[in-house]
Amino acid sequence: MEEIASELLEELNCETAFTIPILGGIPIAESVVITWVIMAFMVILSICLTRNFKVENPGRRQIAVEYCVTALQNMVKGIIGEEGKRYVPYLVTVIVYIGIANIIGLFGMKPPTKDLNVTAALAVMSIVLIEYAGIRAKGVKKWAKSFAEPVAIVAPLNVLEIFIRPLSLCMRLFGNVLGAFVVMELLKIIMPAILPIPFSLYFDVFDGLIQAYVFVFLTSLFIKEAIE
Amino acid sequence: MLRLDINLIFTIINLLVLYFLMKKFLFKPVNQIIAQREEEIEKQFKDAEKARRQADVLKQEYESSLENAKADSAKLVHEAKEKARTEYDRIVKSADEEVARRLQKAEETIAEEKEKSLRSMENEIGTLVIQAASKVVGEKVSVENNQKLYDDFIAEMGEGK
Repeated sequence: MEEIASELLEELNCETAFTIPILGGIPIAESVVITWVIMAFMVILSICLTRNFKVENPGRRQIAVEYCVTALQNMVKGIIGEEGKRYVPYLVTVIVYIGIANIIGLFGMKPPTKDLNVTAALAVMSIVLIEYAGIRAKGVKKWAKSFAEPVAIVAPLNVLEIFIRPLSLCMRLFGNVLGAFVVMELLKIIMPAILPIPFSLYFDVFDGLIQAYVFVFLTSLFIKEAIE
Repeated sequence: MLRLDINLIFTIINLLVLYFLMKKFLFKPVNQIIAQREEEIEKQFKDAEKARRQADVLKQEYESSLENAKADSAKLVHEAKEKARTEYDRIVKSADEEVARRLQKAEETIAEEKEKSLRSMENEIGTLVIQAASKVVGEKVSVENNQKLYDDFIAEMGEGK
């Protein structure tokens, strides 16, 4: 039993991939390195897929890419509305990134979203974007006033929301991925063959994509609320 | 597991870099292509609409010119008919006149001929009468008497008629 626990802990540990030997050593986490891999994958794939695009007579590859990109954009646009069109590319990038990050466990890499640093960074980005969108749409004065709506007494709660929202976003994603990871590791320790397959389909694929969608869905919803 | 450190900043940087790269390499080309295509379709629709409108205008023009041509041709036919009728009338009239004139001339000629033959017959008869009279009277009668006799005879004949 203790053996299993220690093995699990080791699996859960976010290792430092390497350390940059300046300023007394800056540790670079594994999640950051895997994020680089995902970034490289996404960018190279984009470059390869969007080569030789034509206005007329698009090839099958172009139709597929256009369809996917438009579908993702429309999905986010459907939540955020026409006014938040400028935030759509970021949100689509995030949904694709989290989606890939969550299912990368299938390829034997540790999901970066299992590291609190990554989910926290995503949540910080989200709240910054939400507040930025609010300020941009309403102006500083109206944005500040919007905390006292609908009645002045709820202002403290609204201010608290600035911290609660990213925290919940961060923890939801982190908890789900971590939980899925733990369950999968346990299953793999108990029975490495056959048994993990259906569970992996649920925890790694389905839950991973759902969490990516939920994260972006909530961020979009908050942005929509902020710019209304 | 639960650690928050400098890697948070790195992840934020990563995300920003990823966002800009994706924007440049995925969203921009795809959206640009789609926008271009939409623009082209819009243009084609506009062109089609324009062509249709032009065709309508041309059709109207043709229709009106066809109408004019019809009216013109009807007028021409009418005029031609009118002209033909007057011409016909004129020809018939002139033919009638000609006929009348010829007829008159023929009558005149006949009358003249008649007169002439009458006269020649008179002369003939005169000569015959003289010859007969001279046969009857004998060879003694002079020429002057002959003439006188003859004239008397003619006068008598004329009165007797």
